[in-house]
Amino acid sequence: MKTQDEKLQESIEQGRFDSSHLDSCAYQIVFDAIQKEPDTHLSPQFSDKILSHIIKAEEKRAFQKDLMWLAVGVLVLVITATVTIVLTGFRLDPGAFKFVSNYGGLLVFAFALIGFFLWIEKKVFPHNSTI
Amino acid sequence: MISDEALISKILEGDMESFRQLIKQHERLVAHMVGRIVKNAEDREELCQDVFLKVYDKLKGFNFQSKLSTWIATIAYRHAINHIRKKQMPINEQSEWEDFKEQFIANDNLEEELADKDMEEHVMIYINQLPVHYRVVITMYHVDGMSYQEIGKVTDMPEGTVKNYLFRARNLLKEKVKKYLGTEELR
Repeated sequence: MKTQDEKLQESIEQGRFDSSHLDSCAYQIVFDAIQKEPDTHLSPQFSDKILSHIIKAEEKRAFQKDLMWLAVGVLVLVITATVTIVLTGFRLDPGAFKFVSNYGGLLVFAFALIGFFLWIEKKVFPHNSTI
Repeated sequence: MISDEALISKILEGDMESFRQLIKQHERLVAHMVGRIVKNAEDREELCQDVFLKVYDKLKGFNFQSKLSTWIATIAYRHAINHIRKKQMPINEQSEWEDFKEQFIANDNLEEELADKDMEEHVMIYINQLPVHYRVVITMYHVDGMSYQEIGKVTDMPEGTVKNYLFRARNLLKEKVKKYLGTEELR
């Protein structure tokens, strides 16, 4: 069985109220007020903030993914190099460079000559040259 | 207007403007939900942001078994409730209804806050004094136009409890208004 208050709430919801009844008047005031929007406004840039947060998070995620692939690449390279060295018995050999070590003076002269030619080139053909 | 299905599929394809549209469509609902649960204004906007970030992350898993607004409201409700639990704020689970009702009506510590305010503003202030679940139910039903069933889904309460909370909340507010009208007549 419904209480007096339940009946009153139902009739106010249906748009009927008795102005001579204090409870009914009080309910009418309550029903008018509770339909008003509460003061919970968000800033005008609210959606911008969320979108920029998402974009930053996705960029970070993409960067971390790239880093992971780089790490995987380096790891695969190291493993492949190690396996190759082990299977082929590869030894590091200076080869032709051993021969050059006997001609240190010649090497210095060669570098000096190259440097000289570069200097000459810079003098003869300045940067803004259209040639 | 674009349907929820079409909007979601656009967002999942990476269209951020569609997500902006989703935010615009539901920001009031989320603000109401969070605002009714969390009283600290500084925390509110941040919590609302977190809600939409969660929505974005979970959108792939949305299975259309409920309305999109109900699903978003559920995320907002749970997030706000978890926030006040983490901060160890009381959720006001009153055990004895009659005792609580008596206390609520007798509580006069809002006299100064209520001075120079009209009756509607009084009721808005009284709403903030209600237990959190009453505040949420009353807002979802009267402001956001949700059905008992939808409110039950959002809050994980049986429909009967929703109806009961709604009845009690309106009853408490009516008693407060009645008391105020009585004192006004005496002045």
